[in-house]
Amino acid sequence: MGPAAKIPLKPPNNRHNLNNIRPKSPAKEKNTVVLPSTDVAGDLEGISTGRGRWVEENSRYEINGRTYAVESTGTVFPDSGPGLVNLSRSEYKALKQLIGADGDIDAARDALRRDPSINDADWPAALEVFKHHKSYKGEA
Amino acid sequence: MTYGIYFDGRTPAEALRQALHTVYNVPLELVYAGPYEQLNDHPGPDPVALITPADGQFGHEFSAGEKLRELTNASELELAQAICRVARTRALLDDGSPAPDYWFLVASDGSYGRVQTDPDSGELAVLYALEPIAGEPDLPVLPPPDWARTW
Repeated sequence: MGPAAKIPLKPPNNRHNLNNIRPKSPAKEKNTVVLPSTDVAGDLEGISTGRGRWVEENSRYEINGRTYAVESTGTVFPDSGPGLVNLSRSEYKALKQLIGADGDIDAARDALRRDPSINDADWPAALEVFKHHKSYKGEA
Repeated sequence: MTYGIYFDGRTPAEALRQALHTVYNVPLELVYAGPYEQLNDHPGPDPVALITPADGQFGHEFSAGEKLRELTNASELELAQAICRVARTRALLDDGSPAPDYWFLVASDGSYGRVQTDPDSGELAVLYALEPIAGEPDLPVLPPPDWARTW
């Protein structure tokens, strides 16, 4: 059911994966990050073989507790569920800075010190996600 | 609230800065235009808006927060429309949908509509419009199937 019955679905771009986010990745107000070890490929396989449930009301697939949607190009994107984290634009910006600073939390905080779109409330969620990143070295 | 608007890189950053001043009377010294890495060395008061380089055709990332909102009383879309009209440029901004590659394209006349950007690109590259945009008559329009209407 859903678009998988009509077209071949394309996997999400790697930039959704935490370890593939680049400091210059464009940000929307809501940004979904895939944590490592989340089996998105398995979910896609399940959707393609008819094991996902298509919910017509909101144009979403549900599988393994996660939801996915499909863009007009046929590209799937993760929406919500276990292993998927939604960050606001500011939280995502803080996360990108943490990644760009290669795990140096103090350097990341200093780099955004004068950024008018960032405030202290944006850091806890970014840090929580960053703890799953390959460059996380712990907090000082 | 925050602002995150990507303006066409063919327009000088200074023109965007001036447009913000012209439309909303935002003091020029409160708008930083330059590399992000040099922001902390920028003399003067902390800026209320930043214009920093981004990859791709939409090569100016405009970002701001609540202080700009207080100065302009403008939504993200209203601000993008006003700057595009004055600076005769184009911009991409969040369309409010969860789809990472659906954006609003604002044309130089202030008209706007939803577009599909390239999901396989690391930068913002418009593939086609999902609905007609009056100010972009040459942009192909491919209305999405119902299953792709995620907004």
